Amino acid sequence: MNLNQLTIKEARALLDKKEISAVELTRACLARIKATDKKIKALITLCEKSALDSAHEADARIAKGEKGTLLGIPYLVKDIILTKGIRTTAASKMLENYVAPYDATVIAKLNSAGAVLLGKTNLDEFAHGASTENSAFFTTKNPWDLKRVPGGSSGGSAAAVAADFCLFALGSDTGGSIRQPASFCSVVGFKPSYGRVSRHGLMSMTSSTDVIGPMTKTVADAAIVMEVIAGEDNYDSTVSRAKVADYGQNIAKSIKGLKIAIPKECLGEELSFEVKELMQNAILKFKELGAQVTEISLPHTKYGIPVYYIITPSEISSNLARLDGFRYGYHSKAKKGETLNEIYLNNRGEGFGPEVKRRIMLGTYALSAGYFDAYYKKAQSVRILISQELNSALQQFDVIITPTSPHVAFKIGEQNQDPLQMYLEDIFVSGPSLAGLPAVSIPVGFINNLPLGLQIIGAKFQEATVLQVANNFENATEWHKHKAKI
Amino acid sequence: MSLDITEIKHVAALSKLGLSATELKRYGEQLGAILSYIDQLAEVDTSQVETSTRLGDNFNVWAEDRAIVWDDDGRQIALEQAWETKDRQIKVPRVLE
Repeated sequence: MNLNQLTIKEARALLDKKEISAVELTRACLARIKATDKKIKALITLCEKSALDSAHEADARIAKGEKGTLLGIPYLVKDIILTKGIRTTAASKMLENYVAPYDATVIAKLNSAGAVLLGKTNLDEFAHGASTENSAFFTTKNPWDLKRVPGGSSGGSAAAVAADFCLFALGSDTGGSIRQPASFCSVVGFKPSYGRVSRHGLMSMTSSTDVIGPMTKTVADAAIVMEVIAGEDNYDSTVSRAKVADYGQNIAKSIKGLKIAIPKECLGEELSFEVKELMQNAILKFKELGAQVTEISLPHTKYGIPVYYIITPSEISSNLARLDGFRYGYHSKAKKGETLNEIYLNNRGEGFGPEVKRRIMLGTYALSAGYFDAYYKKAQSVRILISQELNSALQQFDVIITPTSPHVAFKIGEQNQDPLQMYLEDIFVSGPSLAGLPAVSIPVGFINNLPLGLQIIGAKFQEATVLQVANNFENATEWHKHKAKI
Repeated sequence: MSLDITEIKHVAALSKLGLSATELKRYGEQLGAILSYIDQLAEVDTSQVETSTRLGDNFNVWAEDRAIVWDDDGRQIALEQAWETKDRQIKVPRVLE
């Protein structure tokens, strides 16, 4: 086995026994990236020199006897999370040459934990999308089939983990952007509760649902990363002050007697026979493990997408208003001497891609005089209903399960001409985002050699339960052991 | 349904996006289709929803009101991003005509 294929847990054991060094581990990842990323195109920026410097530093810390779960572990970051001195582009022409003057809180935490940053991964521009086809630079390929998308928006991170470019990656999830690509690439994608991980230094998309989370090869590894990145931060007033649980502690505890709900709306007629079959197999597996599985109804689930596509563009229209091309970002070549307004129009009109423009306009429309009540206020009201429905189900049940996505990865170019079709990707993942709940996608099987994910949703701040259920399922199945042949 | 040209022009202006005639037409059609889909929200009864309901606990994060000196490299990086600078300050066009 090559070192880059290790899980965090396996690498930790070898590093602690001094059987391998952080430098060797980092070199193995760099070699894999250099040999394979020409085909996958998961990375926007590779940081070879600084990665090796960090690895040497980690080895020195290990030699001094320092212990740490992520000390010397190489990782990649979605290119929407700020890294001081390293380009952060958001996969947008607008920020093609932007260099952040400070680190995001999660990066600062990983730095001090001694994790080794390898580079920055591709995404849909400003995280607007579900396939990475909206990247202003290139589309990432799915390691399971290079003709297909890796999902999105954290598609670069998902593909990189699936192709063993790193031991883990960070993604961000606003309405499914960690979970859906995890489903398409057969990796673990964990979206924490809203407010569990600091958003400071994550470029804002939808401030009321954005959250950073890990993408890993196993559930246990997701728990390890969460313990490092979660928790209070004075730079983000929406972060919870609640103590961060020891997520690894009860992860292996049996789920005998645990109550699992499956919404009948998630097994509807529009779902293919193959997806339903994988879900039925998952239900059987949970029953074998001693859990009680009950079918429930969540009638407001279907409104998740229309609600999401009002709330999200509304917040985007205001969050992206800061990008005017003066303090930083794209500046039009158009001549000086124009009015200030004309300069704004040129900078923004030329700097943003089509989906970003659509969302800014949709949000501006929904918030504009005369439409606010019909769209924004209505969407917020339905959001409350969706949230109450999920919360009340989670008072009776420990977790809710659904397929992560309604189908396996689609072909590149297959549905990017119709923005609405792309929005429907979020059918099962938007609800937990709107309600701020923790949810994970883990491998649940394959349809014609293409992976699919199972989503497990928990009550707010009950990440430990979600990880426990996911870990039990993973240990009882072999799906996560399948590797893309690339 | 498609947003008519006056509406889409108004939205583009409010959004501070300079768009070509082709773009205006295309986005008008696409936004119209998306809004028609979103119109299904009208069928949901929200008369009992208390819109002041808060999702999550909010609290103030207090900080002492003091200036923190930024390290030189951070300040340098920030200034290098600007379109135009003068005397270590970012220069912008007149706001008031």
